[in-house]
Amino acid sequence: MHGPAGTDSHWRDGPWQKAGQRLTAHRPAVAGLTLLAALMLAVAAGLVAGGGPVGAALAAGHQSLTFALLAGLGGAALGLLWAVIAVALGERAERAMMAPAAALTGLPLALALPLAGGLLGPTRGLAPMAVVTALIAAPAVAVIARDELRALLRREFLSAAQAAGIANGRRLRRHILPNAVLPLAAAAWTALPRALMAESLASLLGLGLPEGVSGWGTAVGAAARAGDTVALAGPALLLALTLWALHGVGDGMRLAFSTVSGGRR
Amino acid sequence: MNRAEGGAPLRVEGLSLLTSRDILLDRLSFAVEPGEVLTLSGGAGTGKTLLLRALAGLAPKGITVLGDIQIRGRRILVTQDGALDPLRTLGAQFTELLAHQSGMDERAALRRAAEALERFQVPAATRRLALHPQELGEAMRWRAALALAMAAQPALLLADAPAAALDPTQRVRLLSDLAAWTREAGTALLLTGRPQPDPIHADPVHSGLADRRLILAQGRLETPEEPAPAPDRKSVV
Repeated sequence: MHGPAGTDSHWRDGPWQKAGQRLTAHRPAVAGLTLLAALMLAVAAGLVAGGGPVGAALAAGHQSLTFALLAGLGGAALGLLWAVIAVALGERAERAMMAPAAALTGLPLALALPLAGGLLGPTRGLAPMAVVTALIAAPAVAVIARDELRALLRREFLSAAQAAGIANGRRLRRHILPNAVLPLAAAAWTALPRALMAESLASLLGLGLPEGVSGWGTAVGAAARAGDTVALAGPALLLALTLWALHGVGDGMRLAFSTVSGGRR
Repeated sequence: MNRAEGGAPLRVEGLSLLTSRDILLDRLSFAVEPGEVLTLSGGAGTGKTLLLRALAGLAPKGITVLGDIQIRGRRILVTQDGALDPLRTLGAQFTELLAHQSGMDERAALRRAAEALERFQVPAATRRLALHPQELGEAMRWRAALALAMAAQPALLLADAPAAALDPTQRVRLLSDLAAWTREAGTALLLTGRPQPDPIHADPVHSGLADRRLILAQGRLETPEEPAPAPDRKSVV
């Protein structure tokens, strides 16, 4: 049994702290978070210091990470909105809205970005490419978020609140939304590695980031075409590490926060 | 469903629950009087939870409810997992329920909550109101959940396999305390139980836990044949 509110034990054992403890108990998540923090610092330092193959790789990382973050956030927002609207509209609308999301998730959507890059031509701007990347990431987020919302809505404390006559709006504000935050954050996170992967693949083929903007994929593609293994190693390694870190954190978030997998019970 | 003005807190007449293809519960009729403890036992999947949810007004979609359910007064459902929001403190959950059910302000609700927890033998009750459910042990969490339900002073308490995960000794003590409280408060208590070993399922009448026992089998209610009284009531539990 634990101590009363306001004591250290209460601070440690609160639900949000427990969620943090579950996340940090997952070693790949901790390693991923550490690596991402180190990469951010290194990229920032590389921008200041510049020069050499390492500086170039870090500068390319700045472009890749910025693009992935913006497009990933867009994809996450779109996917969450998709799921929330589907669940809110009822079972029939949910089935109709989620069937295409599930079908799209099974397709190699990452190939759509180089296709869009080719269609848009060499004068393509960053914004249309970010929109296409967001569209690529959104269906998977929508499917996971819908599953999380459905699992949450089946939780028995919500049934008990409903049986006790607590109004729908109050149940939404006081019970559903707070309990949905972490599972939906875990769902949203999956958009980041998808966005980075799609951008890097397209840029590798020369059909991703527009000319003048050089990401890791662009650097790897240029080095491969020039046969320069030294120039290839840096961005390839950084890209691989970043993707591993993003997936590690995502796995940890799912295990720690997901209602579907029972991480929060 | 309607709310009767007098008589038993719960009266069910010819209640049937149907899907488009199947009869899940078939013409059930029973009543629970004020202060009476009625246990409803049956094997897994016999429809105990479905019945309780229907009585609580939460029949699942696609289920047709036929027959008459009369409920007099306030009705509270305690679901199988104890039904506490993991992110809200016990105090906040008591306050919300009591404000909604009885129109109490926060101070009065917290006072009632502390009294209810103490009544249910939760030590240091006032301080525990600042804790979240998962900060309590399993037995204490169940005591808090049932105290929350009883604090609302329901006329009818529907408890779906409460504290099924607790060890039998703790569970019998918890259910006996609950039954004593509901008898004293005049609350009609409908308890469901899982298959044996389970004090609700085994012999709740002779153990003193329940006043009456019904068995749900193949969608119908059966009244068990009562065995001869045991020489020592305590030894049966």
